Amino acid sequence: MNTPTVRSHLADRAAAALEIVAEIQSGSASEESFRRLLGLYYQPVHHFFAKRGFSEEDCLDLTQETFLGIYTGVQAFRGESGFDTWLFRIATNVYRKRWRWGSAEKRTGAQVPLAGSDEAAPGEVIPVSPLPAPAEDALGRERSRILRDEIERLPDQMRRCLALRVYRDLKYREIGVVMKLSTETVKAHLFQARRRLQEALGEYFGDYFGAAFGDHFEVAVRGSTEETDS
Amino acid sequence: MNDPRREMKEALAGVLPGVGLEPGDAHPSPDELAAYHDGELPPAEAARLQDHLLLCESCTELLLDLEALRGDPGFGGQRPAPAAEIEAVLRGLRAQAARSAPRPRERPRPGREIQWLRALAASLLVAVGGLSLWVASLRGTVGDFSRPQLNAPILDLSPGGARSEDAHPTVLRLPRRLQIFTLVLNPASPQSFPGYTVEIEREGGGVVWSGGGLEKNAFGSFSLALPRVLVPDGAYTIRLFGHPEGRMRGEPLGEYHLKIETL
Repeated sequence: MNTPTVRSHLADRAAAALEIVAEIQSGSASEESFRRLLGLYYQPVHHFFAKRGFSEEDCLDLTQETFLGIYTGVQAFRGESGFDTWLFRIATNVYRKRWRWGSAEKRTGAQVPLAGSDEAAPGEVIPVSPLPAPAEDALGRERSRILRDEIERLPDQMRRCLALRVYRDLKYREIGVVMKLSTETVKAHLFQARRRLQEALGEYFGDYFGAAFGDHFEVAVRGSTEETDS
Repeated sequence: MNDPRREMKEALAGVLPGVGLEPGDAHPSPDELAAYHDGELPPAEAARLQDHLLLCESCTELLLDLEALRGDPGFGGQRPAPAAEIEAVLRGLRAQAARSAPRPRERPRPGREIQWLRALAASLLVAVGGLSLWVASLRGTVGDFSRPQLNAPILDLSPGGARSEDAHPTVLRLPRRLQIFTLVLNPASPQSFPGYTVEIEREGGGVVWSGGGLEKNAFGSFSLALPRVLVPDGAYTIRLFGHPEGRMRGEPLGEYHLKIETL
């Protein structure tokens, strides 16, 4: 997906960041150096917090805290993992610290979430009953059992890809990142999973798996190599 | 009509227990996530972390953000950072720099351990100095007692008035170097007792010494040699008692008022 231009842009950014960090470490950095670093990374850091549901005010606060972490920890940075990774560590620690603090505050506060609310806080997974849906009749229970048995027969990697796709609604590329697989391999796993389930259960389920796997999967099944779910 | 997607989710939850639930084990650190992303974890660790990712939406999101931070220039948008917000961060950094800069007039304070050792050393020094002075003083005293006390005075005391406040003290002036002198106490009554005690009280300072073992001499009096260290300059009242057989309480035989001064 990354074109040479994109890769070059990212490499330039990382190189510029390392240059600035070296200036700060040697004591020759000016405020202008840090301003340049902020120019390069302010938006990604801000976005990191914004997509986790923090208010704009909190995002500013957390972004500032992250850059303060860079400032105070810069002497310990050895460049072994790259600036982006180091920045990610600091931002993640800032986020988790705030999240723990927020959780503790909620625990001590008087607010009580409404029962049955399906709104997830940042970092929280909405619990879903792992039990099969309450079957209204014996036929329903039988369908669930057959489906479960067939999914269980799928190879482990295939089953995991399926779970990330169906359960998490992750894109192929994202499943690849989580599973350490290429996007094409993920697509192949999902295609195979659907085919196996269709072959084994088509008699009972009809054209069931198109809907179960999602419309995007249809395109993949038809052989498209494009990431249609971006 | 069944909802296929929902039915599939429920089937998956039955096959992969824990999917969709908050993972019980601790979240991996950012370092572990980065190492997993870079393929630097040992296979067993990587498998454990992947299991966690399958269950944990939060950590999956973090991993995807790391991927985006490294591989997606559009992560966070392409527009430049707002100048006002950059200035706000810089203000925070300036404040932080001012806080962490060393204060010019403030000397670095030694650590707690160093301070404690210094205090101990000072205490020991004072103790050693004090002990040295005390030993030197003792040596001088022992030396004085080892020599003959030349011209040591003997003071013959008779009982004073009936009331202490009426009595005029006998003044005894002693040379500075004199270490010991002798008092001769003449009792008011010639009556004899099986035992005698004496009590020396300093004016305004309580009893300096009291004790028994006195014996009446051939002249019907009692002799009492006193070291100067026991009775420094000052006014004293000395009381002599005779103790009848089997009685703790003695009968007064004389009260003597004495004032000691150094020449």
